[in-house]
Amino acid sequence: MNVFRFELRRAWVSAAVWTLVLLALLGGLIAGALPTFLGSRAAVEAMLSNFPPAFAAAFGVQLDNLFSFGGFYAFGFFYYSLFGAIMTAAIGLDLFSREKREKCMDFLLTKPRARGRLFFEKLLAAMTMLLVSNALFIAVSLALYRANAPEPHMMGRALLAAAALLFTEIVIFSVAVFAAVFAKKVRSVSGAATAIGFGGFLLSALQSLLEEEKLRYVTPFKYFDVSKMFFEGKFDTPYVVTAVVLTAALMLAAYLRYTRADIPAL
Amino acid sequence: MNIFRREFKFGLKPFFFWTFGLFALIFAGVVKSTGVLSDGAFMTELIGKFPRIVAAVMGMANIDISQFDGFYAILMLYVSILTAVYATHPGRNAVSRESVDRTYEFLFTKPRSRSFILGRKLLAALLFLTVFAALNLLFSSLAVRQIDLQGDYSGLFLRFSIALWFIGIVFFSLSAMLSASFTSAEHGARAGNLAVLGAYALAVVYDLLEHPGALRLLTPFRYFLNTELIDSVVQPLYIGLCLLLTAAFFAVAFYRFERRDLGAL
Repeated sequence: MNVFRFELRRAWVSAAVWTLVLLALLGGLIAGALPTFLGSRAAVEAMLSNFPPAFAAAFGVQLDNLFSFGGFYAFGFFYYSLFGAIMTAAIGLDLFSREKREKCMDFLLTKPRARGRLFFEKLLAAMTMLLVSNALFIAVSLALYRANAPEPHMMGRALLAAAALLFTEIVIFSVAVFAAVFAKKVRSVSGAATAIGFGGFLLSALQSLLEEEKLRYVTPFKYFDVSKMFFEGKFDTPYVVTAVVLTAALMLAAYLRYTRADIPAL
Repeated sequence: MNIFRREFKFGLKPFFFWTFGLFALIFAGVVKSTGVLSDGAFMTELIGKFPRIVAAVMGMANIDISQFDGFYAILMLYVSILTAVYATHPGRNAVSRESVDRTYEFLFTKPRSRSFILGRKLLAALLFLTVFAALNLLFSSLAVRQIDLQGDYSGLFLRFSIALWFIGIVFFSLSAMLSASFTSAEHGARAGNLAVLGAYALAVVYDLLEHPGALRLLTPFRYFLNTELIDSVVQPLYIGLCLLLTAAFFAVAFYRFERRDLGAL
């Protein structure tokens, strides 16, 4: 387990910092803006009453859902997923391109351990960090839910809705690992991680703006719909399937490449 | 010219990659805009009733998306993020590519001063950035032809593309400066990327506040406001500020680069 320990020691500080930022963002948004958000319901209702009811219904404006903890949480998810994705992509790229970047592949791969084993130890280290980070995120989300949402609480749904971040991060993680293993050169982890994170963010923004269903298949931040989980208790199956298939394919490709690729002489 | 040519060749691949992103964003956005515009009046009024934070978080503060120019402004907000993330890339690579690749002895033993080399590299990167902004204009003009829209929008596209260029060079020079200032290439890169993220966060906070005041000075994403660009209001103060910041960042970058320890990663 030396690789596992080594990777964890090298990467945990930045993961911890990102997690703290994420928790601050979550707490800040909900404590700071949720009351004002709920308070604006009257103004929106007044405006909607000027429109024919069918018109408002056609827009899917369901006020009970929108003006609730879940509605607001789903709203903030846009930003939680940006920060979460940058963190995850940084972890994935950092761990899986470390020897490539530091030009010491031969050092690691001449150790009496199979490459598959090294891959899994790195994977385990990354997953440990992701799971701990998300355990904290989910715990804080649930605490905020209990404190801010009226009875009856649906903890099961809230739990899964908060776990949507973890699921999204796993998809992003597989993209990052794939990129790290297949790239000929990784010059900057943070540069690539920012690009992946903002790439997902921009796709998600574009998808929200255009409301184009087909686009959702290539938008990882939208595979797990938080508001649907809050109000209907389920994710959209086709997108969950897409997420699972995509993750499995990318990880498998990365694994095969990592265990078989030639190591360039330096 | 050798350095310039080589740097140009190095930059081509990432440039095409990012250009593809730009292309996809603009075409998907503009071509599909008609659907959004038809609901625009309702959405604008609806968002107007929500607290500012909702509009700010959705990037729709101070915007009327029932009009094409309002819609285009939102799209350009996303494009400006894309540009900023891209711009940090050539800035940081110009300064630290050879250090990261450990080929610096090869380049810096050539009979040219460090400033000369850095200057040529930055010039090549600047060319990419300029073409990137020009392509924004081109893609927008081509995309808008795909939908039948009354009126001439070339002025609007031009103004937004110029604003894009100014935002781009600020982040470009900033990331060059940060890369030159940190001993570790990765730390410099991280600082540059955090600057983009921080500037974006400040831009959202700017939208959030009723009276942001001096906050505008802190985030290049708000040097050019949507409303001003749509109404073709020119703010010499902010154009000047962009140029001033860029000049200052470059000056520090050159100063630090002349004196830095090249071997250190």
